Amino acid sequence: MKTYSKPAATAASVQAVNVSDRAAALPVILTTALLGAFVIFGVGFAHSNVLHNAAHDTRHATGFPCH
Amino acid sequence: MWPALGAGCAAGVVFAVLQIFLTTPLILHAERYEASLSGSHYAQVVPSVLKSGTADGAQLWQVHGDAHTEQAWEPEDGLERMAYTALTAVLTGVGYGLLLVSAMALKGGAISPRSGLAWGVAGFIAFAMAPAMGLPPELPGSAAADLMSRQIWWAGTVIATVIGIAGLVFARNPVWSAASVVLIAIPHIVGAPEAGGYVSDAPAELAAEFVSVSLGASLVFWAVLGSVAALLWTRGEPGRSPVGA
Repeated sequence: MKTYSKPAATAASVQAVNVSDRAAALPVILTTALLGAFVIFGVGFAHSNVLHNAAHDTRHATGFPCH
Repeated sequence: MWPALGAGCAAGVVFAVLQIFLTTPLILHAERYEASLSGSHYAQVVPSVLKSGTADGAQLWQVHGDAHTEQAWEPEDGLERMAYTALTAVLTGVGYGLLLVSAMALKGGAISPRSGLAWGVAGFIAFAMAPAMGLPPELPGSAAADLMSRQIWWAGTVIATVIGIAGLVFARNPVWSAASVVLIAIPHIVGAPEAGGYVSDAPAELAAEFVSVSLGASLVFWAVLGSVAALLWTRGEPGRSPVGA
């Protein structure tokens, strides 16, 4: 019993460390994703004519819906 | 975050160069037809080509029909316009880079330039190819449905395809795989908003070439984005786990 319980406990603790690492990283990951989405919105979606005209050729080339 | 910025700049610069040689010449060519379409000619052409009773309430919306008449600021043709195109290409790279890197981090596990390339190709499928199947990259002067409805369909298709690809690649359960296929198909079964008519005077060959070169340029962009992001992240140490790095 002892010989089995030790590896199992080690595996569980390694997994727990990985999970807590990812949990700790989650706010950073979400902030990064939100920032990316914000930039993409500005380049590809914002209806402002000035933004549209600046990004015009890129919007067409990337296939963003364009007016 | 730095791998995303570095890869975004690299992919953006590559994309800007591809645009200058591949897509921008076609856009400039099409704008000559667009200019000839404005004014009284446009008013006469539109009613005659509209399909009777446009389905699902779609309105005819000439691409650029209104924007150019409002005299908003726009970059001068030539170097200034090219500079803004390059700047927005780099911003597109940074934006997609941030999204791609956060998806890689969310997944966790080891990463290598090779798996980064796979992430990039998945990004191309979700953000370029899938929406292009309903809303092909359009030349100036094309007819299209209302802008907002097209943007909603575009975003919905991208989200469904992202979740669907993740389900296909990462889930180990046949039910999830089948559900993923259905999810990817739904936006195309629903269908993209249609213009309900055609108004462009630009030759069909020009539009066809534009679609194929812009999708090709997007594929190169995403391939560079994914592999460079992974390369910068692992800093030349293949197999390094991104979380905690």
